[in-house]
Amino acid sequence: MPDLLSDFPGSPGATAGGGAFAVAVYALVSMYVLAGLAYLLSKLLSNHSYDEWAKNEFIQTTISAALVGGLFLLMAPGTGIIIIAFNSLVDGADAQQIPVLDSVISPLYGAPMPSVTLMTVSTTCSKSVDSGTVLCFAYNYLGLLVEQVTNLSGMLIYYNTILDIISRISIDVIIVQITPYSGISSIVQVINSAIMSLMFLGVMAAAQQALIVFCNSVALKIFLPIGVVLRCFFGTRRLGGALIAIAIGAYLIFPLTIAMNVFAVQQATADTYAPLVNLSQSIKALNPSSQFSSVGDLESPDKWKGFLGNYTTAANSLTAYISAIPDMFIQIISILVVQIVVLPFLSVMLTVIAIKELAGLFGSEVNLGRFEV
Amino acid sequence: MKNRFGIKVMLFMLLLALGFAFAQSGSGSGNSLVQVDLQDPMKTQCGKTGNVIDFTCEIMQALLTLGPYVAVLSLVVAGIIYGYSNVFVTADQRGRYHTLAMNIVIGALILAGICGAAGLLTQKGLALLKTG
Repeated sequence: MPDLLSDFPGSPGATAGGGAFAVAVYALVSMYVLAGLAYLLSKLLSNHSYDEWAKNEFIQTTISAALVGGLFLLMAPGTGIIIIAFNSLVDGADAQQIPVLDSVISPLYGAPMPSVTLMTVSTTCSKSVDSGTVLCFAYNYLGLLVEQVTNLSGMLIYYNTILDIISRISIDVIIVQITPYSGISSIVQVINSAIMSLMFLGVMAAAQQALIVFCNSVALKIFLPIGVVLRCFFGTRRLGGALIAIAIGAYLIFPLTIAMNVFAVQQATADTYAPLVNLSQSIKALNPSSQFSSVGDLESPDKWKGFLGNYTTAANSLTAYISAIPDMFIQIISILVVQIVVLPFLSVMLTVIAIKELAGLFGSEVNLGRFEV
Repeated sequence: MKNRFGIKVMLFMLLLALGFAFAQSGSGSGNSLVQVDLQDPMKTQCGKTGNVIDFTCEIMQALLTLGPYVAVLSLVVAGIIYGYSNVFVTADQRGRYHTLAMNIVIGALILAGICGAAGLLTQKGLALLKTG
């Protein structure tokens, strides 16, 4: 994958660059001469529109020259002024903890029970996405969502398998076959639907991650330099401006709006997962090792008394929480739908609006049809 | 609207062609630095490979050659108009010819100036957003 941004001179005063920079410079010189020719023509024909065109072209060419010259300074990954400014927005954000659904093994049945782990959204990425960027923050946040969906699906599949087996148990009585637990099959169907929804959500979150990787590898390195070069020619100025706007929108605005979602749903997620936190604490309380720290404790009647008392209390709480599990799952899936479908849709809308506005700033126009802002 | 759509498709194809051309030119490798002498762009040695870089270079040189020719030609035409108006045109119409001749002279001088300073204008434009 070519990195066209590196074609542009990075040090002040340098006029040496790669192919893209050379094309831009040739185009700028040509456009200055064309503006001069148009000005002469306007005087020769006493045509006011040519005169306006020539003056406007002169100004636009100068703006394009400034963009070409300052491209590396403004938009270089890691060192560009605008890039640094945007990345600084998530500097303190990596300290934010968001609850992520996990699973613990129940000491009662050995089955996985839902649990909640507080995880931080890191700004360090090992591959695909540059570390320390807004893109990396958004990528890691989406990664946590994928992990959450995977954990929840795994748990549901486990329980669904057991329930499915139970629902199919049948007893042959001479010529009659009785399936006493067939009523459970309706629950199996409900959980099946939940699993399918989760699969859809998982795919959506993973697709957004892939989009982030695409933005990271294409926006600054391909779209932006080509946009700046195309902006130098008067015939492709609008297309160039649109490409610059798309590059900025894809590299900065879209991941920033995704990162914003972390704060938007943090409290709501914490509230949703609160019953699950209690549930996992009750499960842990049933574990004898939580009461007996040494072998000698096993001979202490007081320890046993305390353990049995806690066990009864925790078991009662556990029963109450287990009965609330379907409601919890509904709440969790709902908040996941908001995080993976609704808020990213809002992010795309904000990005499109930003692209439209930026395109106007760079002398272009993005027509959104009926989607007017 | 359909025509505009067609133009957009053509421009998109141009964009793709530019992308491929840049990719083929080995950009980003650090070994393909192009020296552009902005003090005198006419001295730029255009390549002969026929890629988009050479193509734009040829266009630039053609315009830089054409510009001064047109400017000088316009000055001559302005002179002819001025002389013609003084000799053959009545006094009440002479003003119009004089104005036209002066406008052409101004346009030609500005064109000549821009052609001569196009490289420097580009150089200064490139430095507008630079610091240090």
